[in-house]
Amino acid sequence: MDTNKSPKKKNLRHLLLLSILTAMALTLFLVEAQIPLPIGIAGVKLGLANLVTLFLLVKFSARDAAAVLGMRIFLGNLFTGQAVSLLYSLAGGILSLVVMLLLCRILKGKSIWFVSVMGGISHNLGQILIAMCLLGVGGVLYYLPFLLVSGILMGLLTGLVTQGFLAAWDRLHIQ
Amino acid sequence: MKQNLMLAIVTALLLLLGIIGCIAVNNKSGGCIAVIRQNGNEVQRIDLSAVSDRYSITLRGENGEENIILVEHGAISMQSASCPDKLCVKRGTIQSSGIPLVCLPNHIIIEIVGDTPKLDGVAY
Amino acid sequence: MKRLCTATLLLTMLLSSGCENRPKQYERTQELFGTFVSARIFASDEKTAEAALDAAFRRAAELEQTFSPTIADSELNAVNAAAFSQETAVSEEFSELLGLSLRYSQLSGGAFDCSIGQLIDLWDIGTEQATIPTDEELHRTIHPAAHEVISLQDRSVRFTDERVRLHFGAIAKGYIADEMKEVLQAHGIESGTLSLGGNILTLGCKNEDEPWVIGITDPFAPQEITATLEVRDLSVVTSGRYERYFEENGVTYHHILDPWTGLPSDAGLASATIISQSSVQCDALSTAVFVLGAQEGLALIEGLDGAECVLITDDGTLLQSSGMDAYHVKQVEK
Repeated sequence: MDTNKSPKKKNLRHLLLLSILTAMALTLFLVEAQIPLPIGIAGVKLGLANLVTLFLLVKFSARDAAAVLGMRIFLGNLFTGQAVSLLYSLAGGILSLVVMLLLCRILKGKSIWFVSVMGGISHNLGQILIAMCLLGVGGVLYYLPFLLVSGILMGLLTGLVTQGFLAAWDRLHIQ
Repeated sequence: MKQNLMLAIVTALLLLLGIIGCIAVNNKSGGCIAVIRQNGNEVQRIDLSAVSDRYSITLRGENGEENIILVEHGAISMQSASCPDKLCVKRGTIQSSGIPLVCLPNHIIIEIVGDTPKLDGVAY
Repeated sequence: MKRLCTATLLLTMLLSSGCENRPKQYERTQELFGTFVSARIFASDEKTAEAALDAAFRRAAELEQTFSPTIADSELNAVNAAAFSQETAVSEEFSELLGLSLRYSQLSGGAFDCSIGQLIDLWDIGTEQATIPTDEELHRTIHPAAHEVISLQDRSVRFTDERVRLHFGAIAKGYIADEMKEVLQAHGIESGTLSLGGNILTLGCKNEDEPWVIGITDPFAPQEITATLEVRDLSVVTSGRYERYFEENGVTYHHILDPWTGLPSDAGLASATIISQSSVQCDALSTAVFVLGAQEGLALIEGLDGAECVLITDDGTLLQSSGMDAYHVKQVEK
């Protein structure tokens, strides 16, 4: 840490960084919502916004990650105008955050991609669980294999991008 | 490095499991009874093999949601829906597929259950 | 780890076994002649199935072009325009279907009549313009039965009555079903079902030796069935007054017209179902029996080889011809 900077200034910097990251996550979330996927299966999406969550988890704290995630979900659903999907987003977001947090603690070194894969899977799992509650039937479980596969693939993609992003961040020595 | 390899194997196995699951669900021998549920309550149960003429069912939700379901001989589909994403309409027709037709925003799920179809055709 | 691998392997083997070499089911539905035509066939591979379905549906579309009253340049419309004033040459299919139509006209004493196109246009049932004709209009269009006013010599047709206008609505679907079946068989398909807007044709047996189970629509609740029957390699066609109709001043007018009165047939039947090897026979006879009524209709069927019937009367009674036992008719409990 740079000892020359006052705690107040540091706080401000931090807040600014979180705001920028929230905006980034929100942009990714909204851009992604515009990409039509040819599969008529609810829940299959890229999950690019997870990049920001993952980055915060690794470089900063769980608290920061949760704050940005929460803001992103709230604002994102406000913008896309789907009140019901707020529940789905929250369920997926919270579960994946918890899983990724645990994995970050357990795993050592550079396995961010795997954290992201598990995040993707648990995000989809969370959505299925909430769908089961809302729809009141177990029928949606048939979606599980599809969402498992899509969670792994999309999670892998996001994870690799995050790793690249982290490497770039380290090279820049931003604090 | 060793950790990465281990994790790669775990991921690959999970992926394999998922793919096998997809194939299994897709090949699930279909029945002919369509069960339509709204908010978890069964609204209607239709023997699709006994449907001769196509007709539609309109489901209305508490907040003005509207879903029109098209019932045909051996098949069922979402004709129109008031939900924003229209994923249920894009799904098209389900005949005997193991994957239910879901409209998440409007809390509607259509599953096909039951054994092999009782009827091979309906004369009308 | 090892155990997980073994489990996965076992699961894969379990899922992939048991579904090899058995013919798979292929389906196709297409809109033709104002109704839905669907085929469900069993074939060893997708290529065979696709080729067979392509050819069968192509044949159906060809025949629609020949027999359709709604396609302006159909052969039917050309013949209708020309055949009163002069001998008119027709295609082989046209000659064959007209020949069959005249045979069923004669057989049913005119109850089945393919020459009442004017009458059908007058009512226009099944369209937005459906209207009740006046007595005078009806009187003007009624003429002797088809077999008395149409002469067919090989491939040449002539109408001897100005009022004749051919309309194959009560027989063409049966003919097309038989033709589609022939095409499918030529492509090596041995098992399957066809539905041409509710005209059912079954090809061979289901799963080697099982019968096909066919439902008969409940004429009083057309979204349900009233009975089931089991058939192998046979066609099942129902004519019912619930199919197309319109209402005016509380009276229902259905689409099966009585050629003698010009009015919707009122012979006491709600529906007539014919079972026979030939779909064209089923189609023509279902109309004939519906128009004739229970007594005369049953007599007609009993007099023919290879045709059976299930009739539902206006009061809901189910009547069967004497040979129906073979088809295990089961009424649906309600």
